[in-house]
Amino acid sequence: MKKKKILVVDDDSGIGEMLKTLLEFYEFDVIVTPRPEETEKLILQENVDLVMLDMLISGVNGTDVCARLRNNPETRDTPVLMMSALHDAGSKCREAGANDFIAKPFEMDDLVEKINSILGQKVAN
Amino acid sequence: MKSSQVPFKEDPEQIEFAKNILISLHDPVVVVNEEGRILAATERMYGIFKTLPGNLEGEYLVPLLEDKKEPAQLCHLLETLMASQEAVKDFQVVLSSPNLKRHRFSINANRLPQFKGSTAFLLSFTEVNILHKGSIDYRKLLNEVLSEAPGLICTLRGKDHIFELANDKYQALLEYREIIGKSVKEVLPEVENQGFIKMLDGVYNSGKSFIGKEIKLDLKGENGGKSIILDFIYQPIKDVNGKVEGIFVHAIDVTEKVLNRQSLENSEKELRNVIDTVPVIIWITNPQGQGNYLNKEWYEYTGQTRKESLGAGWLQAVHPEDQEIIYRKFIQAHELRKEYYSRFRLRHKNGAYRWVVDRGRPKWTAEGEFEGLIGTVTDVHDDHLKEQVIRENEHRIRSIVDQATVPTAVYTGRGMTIELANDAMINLWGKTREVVGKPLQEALPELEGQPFFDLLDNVFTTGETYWGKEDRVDLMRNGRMETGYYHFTYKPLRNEEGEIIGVLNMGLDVTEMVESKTLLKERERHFKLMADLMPGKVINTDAAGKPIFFNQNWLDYIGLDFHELQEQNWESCIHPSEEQEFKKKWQHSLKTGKNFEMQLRLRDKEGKYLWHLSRKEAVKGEDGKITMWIGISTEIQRLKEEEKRKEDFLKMVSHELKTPVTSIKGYVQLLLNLLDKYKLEIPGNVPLKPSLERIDNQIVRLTRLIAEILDLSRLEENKLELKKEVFDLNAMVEQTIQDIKLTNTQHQMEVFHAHRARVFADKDRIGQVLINFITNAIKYSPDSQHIQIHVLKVGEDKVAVSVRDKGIGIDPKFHKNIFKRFYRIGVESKETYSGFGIGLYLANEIIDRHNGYIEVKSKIGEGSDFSFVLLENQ
Repeated sequence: MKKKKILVVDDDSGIGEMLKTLLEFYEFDVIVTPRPEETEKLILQENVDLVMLDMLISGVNGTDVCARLRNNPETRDTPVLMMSALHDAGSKCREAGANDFIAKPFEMDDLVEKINSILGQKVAN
Repeated sequence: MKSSQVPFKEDPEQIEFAKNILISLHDPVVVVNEEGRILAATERMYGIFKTLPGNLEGEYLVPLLEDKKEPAQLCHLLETLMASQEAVKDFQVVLSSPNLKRHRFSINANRLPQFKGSTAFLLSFTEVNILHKGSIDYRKLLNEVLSEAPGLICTLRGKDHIFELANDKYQALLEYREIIGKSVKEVLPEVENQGFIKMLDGVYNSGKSFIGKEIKLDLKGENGGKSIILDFIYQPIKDVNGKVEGIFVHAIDVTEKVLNRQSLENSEKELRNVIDTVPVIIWITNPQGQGNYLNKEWYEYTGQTRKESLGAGWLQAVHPEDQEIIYRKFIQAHELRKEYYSRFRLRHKNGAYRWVVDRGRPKWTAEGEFEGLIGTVTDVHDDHLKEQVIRENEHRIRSIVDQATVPTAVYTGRGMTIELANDAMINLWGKTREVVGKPLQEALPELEGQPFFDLLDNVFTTGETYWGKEDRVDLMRNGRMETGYYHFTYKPLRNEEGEIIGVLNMGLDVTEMVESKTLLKERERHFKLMADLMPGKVINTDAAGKPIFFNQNWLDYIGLDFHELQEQNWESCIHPSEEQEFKKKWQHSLKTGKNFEMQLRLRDKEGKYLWHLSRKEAVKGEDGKITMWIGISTEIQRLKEEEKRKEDFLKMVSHELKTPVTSIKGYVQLLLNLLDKYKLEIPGNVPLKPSLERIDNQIVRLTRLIAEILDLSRLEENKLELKKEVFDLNAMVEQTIQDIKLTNTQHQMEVFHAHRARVFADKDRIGQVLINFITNAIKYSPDSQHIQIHVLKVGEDKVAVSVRDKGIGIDPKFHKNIFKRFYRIGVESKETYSGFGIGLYLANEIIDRHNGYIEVKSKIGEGSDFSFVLLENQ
């Protein structure tokens, strides 16, 4: 079975690296970018299965990025899991079109479960 | 004749009369009186005696003219004159005076008409040496004399009473008819039947004079005639031989006098008639108080006879008990010549004694001589009885007034004499009963300079009642000037005739009320002053929320004056975003009386909205009813901005802290997973796995602390959002405990599901509360590992989650405080119980926002039981 590819969009390199290490441990392909404007390009280029999008990325609002993805026919169907240190930001993210939301810091198991859940749904669909 | 120097006391009128007779005579003539003293003399006479006019008056004629050789002659002449009524003619004497040669004089002497009852004699001297016989015209002389005499004078000659001479007055009386040489009968035919001619005949025939008193004479005249009344004397004129030659008539017109007297008599008579017919008793006394007249009413009333009433006999009709005092008063009035008044019982002829009023006043003659008293006696028996009834009524009224608690006084007369003052009024004045009967001005001199005397005088004058409302009165009470305030009336009192006789004064002490009012005003002023000085915006509304006061700050802020602000409705300057909530909350407060508190933006005069903390508190009266609201709005714009900065900062901090924590946590978990997956053996028994697990636990704790900081700032900003959903409470509890168990293996946690319930709530927040309870239970139970969690039904529709430990417990006095921000019970070991002290505060806020509540049961040393109660979703 081909590994699922996850794009992590977060300007904090510590988080990006940690998620890459962690998710690779769980058998995911992970690419990380600190630049949210590259998101669409990378989704299409790398054939990304899921985007992990931080809410606050150096001056850019993650929800805007999410909304943009949802408005783009090419990226409309790519699942988005938004994350934030603001643990009550979930509703805003869902409103922007995110499939799910996870508050930082997270339990590894919770994260994997959420990712699998989203991808499973996708598969089921 | 005596020649001793008896003082000369002749009537001046008689001297005047004598002088008048001589005034136009040129011959030496002298008039002497009966004593032979000179009354008057002509200038020639003075010439003879070489003396000045006036020096002869009062001198005795005889010694003066005494010729040492022939004095007896003169004396004889005078004696002859005195002794008879006859005239003496050509009595020859020789007289000498100190400077004169001896002269022979012929004296004609005549008796003058009587004047005021006195007789005088006229002596005319003629020097014989130069005497030419018949040259002296006696008649002419007499005529001259008589023409000057007062009264009506004429002489009649012969038996037919022929008018020989008549003075001017006499002729005037007869309207200057031709009379001389005619008989009385001819001249005055009208008097023939009036008896005068008979009288003249009588005198002529008898030689005796006749005196007529107040005889009426009717005369015919050109103007219809007239009547006069005369006093007159008919005196016979005799020749040297004593034969009657004619009659000397001297009459005085007394018509006026008689008529006056008659009219006086008539009026007196009339008066007596009147007095006798009036239905009151009238009495008249003489100066000694003797009752010389009582009208017939007296006799009819008392049944006394005239004889019985004479002198002081009338007193017998007076009641024996009253007699003495009445008589004394009566006599005293006469002695003092003053008015007399008394009231006594008089015996009616039917035998009953009746009350009468006796009044008298002095009578004076035209000359101012006291004549006695004239008075009346009036039966007032019925009135007296009425008066007695009135007096009894008055007494009753007085006693009612006396006992009344309302201060009451009655002043009489313009002098405002205190007629009546009850104890309440005396007490109000701070005086004693002694003031009653004194004029107000004397009783309360301290009122001088205050407006009351003028007010009273005005009431007395105009009859208009004066109402004093909260009037200030300064009274000398118990030796000290005290200021009081009174409601009072000055009401005019009138008698039956409607005349004002006094003033009724009723008062009410309202000092306390006025003072408290003044105090209240003072307080209000203070309040306003304070309110104006306060930096906040102070509003004062009535119980219904209508503004009655804005302090200066408010007005300055909004740029309007009070009336403008009131008209505009200050609520319109609330920011539209807060307006609805404000109205809701304010209405709620107005209804319930609960304090109001809200943060809202208010528009200033430039249209800028600034944040304010608005608080309002109800002011309640003694009855617990709201009397008004006092509100203060404090500008918190800077605070708000600070808070915003703080929140932004905290958000940033927590975000920034969480990022590395997330990273650390990820790696720790990776390491743990790696250890599990590869069963790595660490040499030297290094406890790698437990260490990593502890790191993970600490990260969870750190995470929670970071989250709490953020939550707190949001709570304060009212931004804590609740994501409510319906969930299974039992399952949530179970899950939470499982999670805790993962990180805490030391404590045993038992769950008892006595009740199963679903709730509509924020699952994460409720979980947060439960975690807080459990971590507290763990934290404060260092020596006990048993924790019980119960899910219980409370009441009809509520569910409780209770966390019980056997830890150190909390003193009940701290139970309230533990929900306060940053509150931590003073504990001995700081390390043991770490934390910010905001966990329970947050828990309380969260449950409160779910309309639930938290309960604490705890005792020191016995552990605690914390439970939260939520509404079941049914």
